[in-house]
Amino acid sequence: MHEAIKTQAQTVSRRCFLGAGAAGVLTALGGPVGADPSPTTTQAAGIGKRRLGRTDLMVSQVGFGSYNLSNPRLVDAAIDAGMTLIETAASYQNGRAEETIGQVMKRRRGDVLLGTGWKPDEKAKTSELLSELDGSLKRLQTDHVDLIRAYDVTRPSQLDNSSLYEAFEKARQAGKARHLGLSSHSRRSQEAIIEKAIETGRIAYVMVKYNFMEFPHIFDLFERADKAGIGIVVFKTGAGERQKEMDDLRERDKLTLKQASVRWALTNPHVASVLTTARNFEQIREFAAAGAGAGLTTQQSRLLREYRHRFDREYCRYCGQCAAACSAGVDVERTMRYAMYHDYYDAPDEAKRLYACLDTAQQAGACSECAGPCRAACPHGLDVPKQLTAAHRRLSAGLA
Amino acid sequence: MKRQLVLILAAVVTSTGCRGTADRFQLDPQRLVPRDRRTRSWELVGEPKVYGPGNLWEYLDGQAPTYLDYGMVTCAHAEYRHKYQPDRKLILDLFDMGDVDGAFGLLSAGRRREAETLEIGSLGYWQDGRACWMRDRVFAQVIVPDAGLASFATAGYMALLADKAIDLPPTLPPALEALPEQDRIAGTESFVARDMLGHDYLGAGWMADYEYRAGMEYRLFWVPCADAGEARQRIDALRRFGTQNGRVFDMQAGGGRTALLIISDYTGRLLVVADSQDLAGTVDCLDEQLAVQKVNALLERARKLRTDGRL
Repeated sequence: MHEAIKTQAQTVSRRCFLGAGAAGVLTALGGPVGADPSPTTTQAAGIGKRRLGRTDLMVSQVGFGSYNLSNPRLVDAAIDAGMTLIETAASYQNGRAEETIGQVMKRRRGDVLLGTGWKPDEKAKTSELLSELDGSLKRLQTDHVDLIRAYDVTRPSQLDNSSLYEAFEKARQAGKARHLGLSSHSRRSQEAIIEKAIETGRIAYVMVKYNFMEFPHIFDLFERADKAGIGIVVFKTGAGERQKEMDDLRERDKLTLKQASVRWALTNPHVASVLTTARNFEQIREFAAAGAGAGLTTQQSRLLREYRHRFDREYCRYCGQCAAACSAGVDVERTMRYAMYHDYYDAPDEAKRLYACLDTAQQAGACSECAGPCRAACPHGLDVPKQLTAAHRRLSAGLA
Repeated sequence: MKRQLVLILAAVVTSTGCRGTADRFQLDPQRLVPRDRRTRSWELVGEPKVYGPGNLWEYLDGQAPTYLDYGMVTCAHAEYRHKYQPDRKLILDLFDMGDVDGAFGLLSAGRRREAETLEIGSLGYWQDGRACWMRDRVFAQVIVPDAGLASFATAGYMALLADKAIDLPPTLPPALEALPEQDRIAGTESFVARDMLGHDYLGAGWMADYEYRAGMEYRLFWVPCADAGEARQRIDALRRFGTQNGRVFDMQAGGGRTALLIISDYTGRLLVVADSQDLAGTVDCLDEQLAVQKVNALLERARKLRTDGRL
């Protein structure tokens, strides 16, 4: 990663080298094999831009999410790299993320499209939302945001609160916010929430989870939302990121799963932007490279195929359908999660300790003796009892 | 109310009382937010919930990664509603962060300059309608969504009561003692669990802001390393970053230490010094002599903490 930067840094100014570096990396990869099908896409040397729904905004197709942000220089680097859609929320570190962005906005507000979030529940009042927005604007050191979203929506009913629309309308008339959206991290209800957003006709954009393992079926819903004029921003594109197991491919083709998964999301023409959370300069470069173009390269496509092939029948989506089939009360979801911490998050001790916190009945110790009705219950074809037995063996090793 | 509080604590105690965790803190069910004149109008909404790293996303999805970075083990979450004014709500969260560094890290991650100090636990503050504090490895908060004055008063009181029930000493991380007190701006001390200064290879570290020359500020940071080799690797990585993005100058720090001054758009004016087991430096200190002095003072303190077996 350093090398790509160095090459560009020797010849171009800071403002352009990150973007140019991204283009350079992709050229080296062989260039996109598929033309970007979106008619509303523009492509300069760096990260491309797409129109956000029916708004007048052209957003960078890789955006910068700011959770856990405390270093303003990362914001500068992201903007320099062409990640000009910046999203935050008042609740991120109690407003510190907004403050950090604000240090940059006082110099570079005109370079970006800026969004923040408020967290309304069904009873949030207009005055509370407006007050929260005023606090955000103060911390962001700007007089307006381009995007304001209902943050972390978990239930469609949260969109029934008229205060949300009233507060937005007042903010819009006062020139404090331009477009209203929502974000949802809820795997189980995000589709219902998107449906509700379409139904209301008042939501300009949605920000939701999307990755190549879990959401192929959501294409139609995205298409309908897009046709309804709703812009779609996605995040959490990594699908577990078992990068370690793909090192053989990465070494061969010099690409990363993060980049390939971002590119995969961008092959959907209804996706306006992939919001990434880059926590360091290295990740900004990685994501910027992914955003400099739209099609998947042959190598990236192969990487994702290989990943899917290797993990499709091992990748637990935590849908919970197998739990109902288990009469023994094994906590399948937690066991699977702890196994993931053990195997892929470099936290084997922590995983074992957490697993030890489950009751014996919730652990998978007896799964090897069971006929395994959970196997048939898994809609994704995972061999659940086999995975649970293996997980139990790893997670209980060395425990007293 | 008492029964409800017992429920909270039973949940916390149950969740923390599992195998292999005998040293976990134990909360006394009889003492957390006892019913009295000030709290009797507040009723628990539903049952308290307990989250672990495996399901924290159900409560704090988008924010869960930071809590996990700091080592969150258990979260007990309870909501209260006022019996006669149902629009008024209070939230009480207790996080067992596994160790005192994690609790301090989380507390410091959410603290802004204008926060008001709260004399509670090991360290606490008021900010935007929430009382946040820590006591040893517990990070706790009482949140007041409606921001009414009456709720604030109750929240403060509830925080005090909840803090009393945490049967742990008001410990702070020993590592904080490595940060020299002189000119340090109170409340800016922080522990970063990863990506120090925005570099993945720097990992975790400590920092605080300092004032000098009437109103000017700089940041002092410290990255503890496993050994001299690790410190060397990290300063070499910074050298490469500096070379690629700006300019790098070799400096004299004395005592056989390696020192660099890196000037770039992405580092600012970064002075960094590596010794046998630590990496430390300043960001945006224009007085290099002062910067070297301060960094050396920090490194000496860090060495003493190690010698005393406190790290």
